[in-house]
Amino acid sequence: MLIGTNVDPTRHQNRQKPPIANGVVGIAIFVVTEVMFFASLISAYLVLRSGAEEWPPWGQPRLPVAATAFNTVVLLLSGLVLFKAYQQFLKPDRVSVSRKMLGLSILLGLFFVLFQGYEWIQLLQFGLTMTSSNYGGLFYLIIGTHAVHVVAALFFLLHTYSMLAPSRIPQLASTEFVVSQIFWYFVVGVWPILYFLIYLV
Amino acid sequence: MKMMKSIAVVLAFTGFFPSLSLGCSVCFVGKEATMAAYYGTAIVLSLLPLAMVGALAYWVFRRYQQHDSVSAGEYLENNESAYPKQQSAPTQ
Repeated sequence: MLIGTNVDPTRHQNRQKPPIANGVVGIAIFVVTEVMFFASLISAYLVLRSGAEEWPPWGQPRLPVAATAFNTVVLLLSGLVLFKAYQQFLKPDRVSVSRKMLGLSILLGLFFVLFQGYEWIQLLQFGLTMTSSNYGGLFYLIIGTHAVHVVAALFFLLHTYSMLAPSRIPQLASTEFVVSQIFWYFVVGVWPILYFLIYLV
Repeated sequence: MKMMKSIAVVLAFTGFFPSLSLGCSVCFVGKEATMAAYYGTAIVLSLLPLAMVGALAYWVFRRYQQHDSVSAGEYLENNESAYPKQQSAPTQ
């Protein structure tokens, strides 16, 4: 008989399955630290920029605003496709569709990185290097840091993609999917801010 | 006593030599725009972690609260016999 006892019968059940997966809490904390990291880089950029007489400095090439706008759209599209992929994943018997959409999202992310690499080669040829000016140093530091994050997030997504293979049990990839999603949304979400501050303003 | 001495030394330094406590050359050197950028970003960098950690903690708390209430409700539905409904007092 449970009546009259001090034992809460639901307590044990709650402990067996936590309401939030440990991986999700972990990536959320990681994203908080990453936001602070990028905020500090942006802070340094704004302080140095505000102290400069001319920005971009004389003799330094201008950044490719239009081409990067196109690349920004590609990255945002990648985030949207990933969102749709997860919606498909939640529906029964739609894992294969979800996997294909996830693959498309990865390809779009890969395109973003490769396109950015091509831009960098062009900029280096035009004389914008890490040591050419504060402008060049900050540009490669901030945009390069973001690119590293994009590559890392792509590895997360690839891992999830492999877990959704027909030979494996896709239901087990639920937490991995959410974790890689959060990281990718962070990477996608921070980019328009960087684009606005560094390319447009 | 040792602590009092430490406090006295710190007070002496901050009181008699206030300029020494300025750690950043940007704060009071440079243009108006630089100072504005410095203060603006300092405020953002100070408040942002508090906001994010607070939001995260609140989200975790809410999820646990919802989970507990759902679990308790499910348990009561499945074990009605363990918690019989109270009957109203007989009327005369």
